[in-house]
Amino acid sequence: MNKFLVTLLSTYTQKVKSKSFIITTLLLILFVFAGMNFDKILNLFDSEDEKTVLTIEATEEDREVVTDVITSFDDTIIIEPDSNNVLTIDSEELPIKATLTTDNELSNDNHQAIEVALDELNKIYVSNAIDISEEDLALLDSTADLTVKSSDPDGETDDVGFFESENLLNIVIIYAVIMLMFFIIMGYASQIATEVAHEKSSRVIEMIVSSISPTRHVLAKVSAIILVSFTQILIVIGSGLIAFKTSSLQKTLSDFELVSNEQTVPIIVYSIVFLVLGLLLYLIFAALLGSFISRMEDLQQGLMPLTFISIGGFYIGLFNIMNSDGTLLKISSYFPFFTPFTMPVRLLNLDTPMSVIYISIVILAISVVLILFLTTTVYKRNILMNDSSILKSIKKMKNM
Amino acid sequence: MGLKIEHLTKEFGNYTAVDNLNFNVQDGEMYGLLGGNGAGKTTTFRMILNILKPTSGSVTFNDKKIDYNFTDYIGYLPEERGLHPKLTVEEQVLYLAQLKNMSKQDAKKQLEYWLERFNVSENMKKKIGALSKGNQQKIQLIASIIHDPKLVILDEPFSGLDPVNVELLKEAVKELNKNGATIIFSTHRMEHVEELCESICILKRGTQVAEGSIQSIKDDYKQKTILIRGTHDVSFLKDHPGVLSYNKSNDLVTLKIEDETIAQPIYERITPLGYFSEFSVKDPTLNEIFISKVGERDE
Repeated sequence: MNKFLVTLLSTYTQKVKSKSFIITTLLLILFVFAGMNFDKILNLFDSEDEKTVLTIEATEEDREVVTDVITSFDDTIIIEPDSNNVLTIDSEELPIKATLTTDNELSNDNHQAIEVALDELNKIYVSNAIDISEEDLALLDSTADLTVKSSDPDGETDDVGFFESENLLNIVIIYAVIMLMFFIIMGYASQIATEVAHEKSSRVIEMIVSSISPTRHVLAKVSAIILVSFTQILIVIGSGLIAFKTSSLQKTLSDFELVSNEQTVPIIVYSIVFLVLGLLLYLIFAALLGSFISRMEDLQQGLMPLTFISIGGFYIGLFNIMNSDGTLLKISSYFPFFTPFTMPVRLLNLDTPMSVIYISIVILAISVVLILFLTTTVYKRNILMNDSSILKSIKKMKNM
Repeated sequence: MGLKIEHLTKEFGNYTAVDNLNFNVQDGEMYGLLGGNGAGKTTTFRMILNILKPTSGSVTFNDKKIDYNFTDYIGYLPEERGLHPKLTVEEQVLYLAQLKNMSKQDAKKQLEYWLERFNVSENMKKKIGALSKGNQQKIQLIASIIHDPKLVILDEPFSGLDPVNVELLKEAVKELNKNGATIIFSTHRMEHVEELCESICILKRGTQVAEGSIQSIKDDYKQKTILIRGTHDVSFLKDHPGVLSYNKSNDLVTLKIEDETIAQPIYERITPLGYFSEFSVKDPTLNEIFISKVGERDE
């Protein structure tokens, strides 16, 4: 078998069979199913026993209005003629007065429902008293309408913008992509660095590179870990789809007006491009850093540059998700280590021209190639050196 | 034929680690590379394996340059011992064997054979981190010879082992050699060299100070040792011309002499004194040659 494949398969199977992989994957699946079924889980705690029985003492009409509002707001309240909880309504004077006599404490939801119902009843009485028509009442409830007309020509571009209108589902997708990328980088960058550093610090690398060239070896290692991360993503996405189909969340999503528009598919496609390129860039960089480590206890310290850069990119992306036109976002989206976090956010902006997106993809792809070249060059020289300091290693490397 | 090292030099910046090394290891021979710490043995091995690029000079095996097309025929045990501590013996050895283009099935069969042979069969499924240092070393030797290599490079293979295990490993190395493998190894233990090797090369700070068959090196080395056993006082020999050192313990006197021609005059000076139970001229041991070649302080 090809030696590249031997290393790739051996690393891949080791990682996928490892306890940590199995446990984290199972936990993620559990979270996904729990998340998709949170309404059912919440219902488990809302048992029948917690129904509140309420008696309303008022005129026939008042009771009808109040009963309608209360039951439509809170289905845990049952209105019955005789109970320990008595709501007495006195509508002789305005505003109306009511007294609630109870044995036990009512929940906040119950209280709220009763208050809303009383307010509604009060409104009816007040509007009757001051003789206001239903149209006027509707006008009173309406909100002001603001239209902005700007003479600033900045907003006008010849290029077609990505978005026609902001769409909540698209924001959710970008949010998910940024989070996913950050967590994969955090989890798998250290795994690659650990793999590389383990082989170097245990000295087994010398036996390995006497059989396979260091360049092929490090490429096989990085590819294997990227495959492991994709395996985990696919398992989680797959279980997410199953959980979604079997849950009642579809209805909830439409309640939130999470509906796709014509930009949703391009957004998903570009996000996947940025995700893949971003992972390649960070994971290869992790291998580079790992090759400098001679003792495992220095690993976290050695990975610090990667951790800081990825946290920086993550926060710039996350904090600007509602401000996709920000200057910091624009500038940082051209810096290859930030691009995977910030460019997807710029996709949300109406005015981001397609040319900018293509330029950033090209810069990112070139950076991946460059860092790959740098990593293989450095790795070859680094693996046989056991200096404790990275600076010393770099100095020595020049003399190899 | 065999392994040919010609004008091999390695410089790291201003520091010359190996300087113009030349030697031949015949096909099927066992060859010793000796030298103190930092003499350049490991650097030489790494250059033979093409892990390090030589600054100048060449390495060939059977007239072919050694590169990654040839590494399947080489077995290498590095001086810096270590295997991946989180892998089991089986996983690690099978992986390294597959990197030598062995099939998994063959590698497994061979692994079982060698584990049996080294009396460590029970460790097959154990994590390497859980093994004793000696057992790890056995596993590493297995990993480096499991694919029946033509050229075996062993960097201090016996260091850190107890005498029983040294014998076990030595027998395995001898067997490999008997089956046709060319073996080159480094060690600090001269008795191993004398037992196993026909030829040696002694390195001192990167330069070759002696090379050839052990016997020719001993012959070239002029200094001899005279042992005199008897009760007569021979302390006057201290001042005899050509005597380098004088040592007396009980009735045995040990003299180091410049060369063998001095032995006869000494013999003639002491025989008039009467009876001596022993008078013998000894070749130097490899240990003595090594210490005199490498040990002198000239800095």
